[in-house]
Amino acid sequence: MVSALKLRSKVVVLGDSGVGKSAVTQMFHSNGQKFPKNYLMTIGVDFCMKPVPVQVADESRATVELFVFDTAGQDLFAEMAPHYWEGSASLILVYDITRAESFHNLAEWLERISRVVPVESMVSGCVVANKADLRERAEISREAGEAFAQRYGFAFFEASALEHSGIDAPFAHVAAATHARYTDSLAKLTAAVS
Amino acid sequence: MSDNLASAENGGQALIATSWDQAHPPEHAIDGDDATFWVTTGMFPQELVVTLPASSAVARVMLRSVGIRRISIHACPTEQPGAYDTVLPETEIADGAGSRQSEVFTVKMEAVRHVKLVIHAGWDHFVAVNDIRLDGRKLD
Ligand SMILES: Nc1nc2c(ncn2[C@@H]2O[C@H](COP(=O)(O)OP(=O)(O)OP(=O)(O)O)[C@@H](O)[C@H]2O)c(=O)[nH]1
Ligand SMILES: [Mg+2]
Repeated sequence: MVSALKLRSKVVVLGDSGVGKSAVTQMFHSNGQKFPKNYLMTIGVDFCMKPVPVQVADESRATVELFVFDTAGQDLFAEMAPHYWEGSASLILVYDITRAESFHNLAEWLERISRVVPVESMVSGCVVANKADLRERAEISREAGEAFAQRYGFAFFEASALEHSGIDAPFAHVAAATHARYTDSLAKLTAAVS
Repeated sequence: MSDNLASAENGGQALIATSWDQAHPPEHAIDGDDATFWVTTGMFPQELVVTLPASSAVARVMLRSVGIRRISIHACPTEQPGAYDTVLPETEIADGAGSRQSEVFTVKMEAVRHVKLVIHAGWDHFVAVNDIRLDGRKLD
């Protein structure tokens, strides 16, 4: 029997306060069971781990354990946050489609994390347009969100934590990218010594 | 006369590690073959413990690897692995641009049963330990 390969990766969730970072993270972690209806500001960081299976070409199996660091968006924690970003391999940027400002601030979040971890060294990045259930109040079009993601080579996802839609896709993307990077690294590590 | 005490031939074992890919198991770090390696499978720190067959004195640790950025080495004297003493504090090693790193650390381990390598950071997300040699002699 072939035993499953288990990879691990640290993922940080970033974005303005109130955009739904914790809601997205908790709905992912609880398989849609725990939507935080009342806003509870994240103090510094919330942390969770979830194994995500990835599709592998051969019959072997692989799982990526995602260690998700849902960091606070409140300015109050601006000094603490970089500490929690260290060692992250992937990032998920979240904005609220009904608050244009939260979208325009994404570039600022990217700049802040770049001071801790160079974004080009990361395995993957995602942009999540959250609160898609409030589409009639949207201030930012899907196209604008996609264009931003594309500029940085990130994947774009529309999601609603409230409706538990589009929540698993960004995490599945991170897991698949992690596995792809591992396969790539193994080839390089093998080449380095042969 | 000193020997490579880590080698499987001399009774060395690598049973405890924080990463396990069956194609690149921890044994590959002590099989004396540079072409095989133990690979880390994500996130740091990562640890690998080399267990010696008998209490030994070790003077040098030779490491061949790819992609390690910061490493420390620790020694435990008891047969059951317990408390470790730091014999090499966290040290940065050069990148080598993805090619092989070859390091020799002079250490002082007077009566050691387990040697633990801690990889605190990598130059890449996944790194390889190709070969660990522990230069020393068994105590009588
Ligand atoms: N309608 C709607 N509301 C949501 C959605 N996701 C989150 N919310 C609400 O938005 C508010 C803020 O959500 P949080 O997840 O706490 O926001 P956050 O980004 O973690 O905020 P900080 O921890 O302060 O950085 C809460 O009241 C949630 O119920 C969504 O998809 N749709
Ligand atoms: Mg939060």
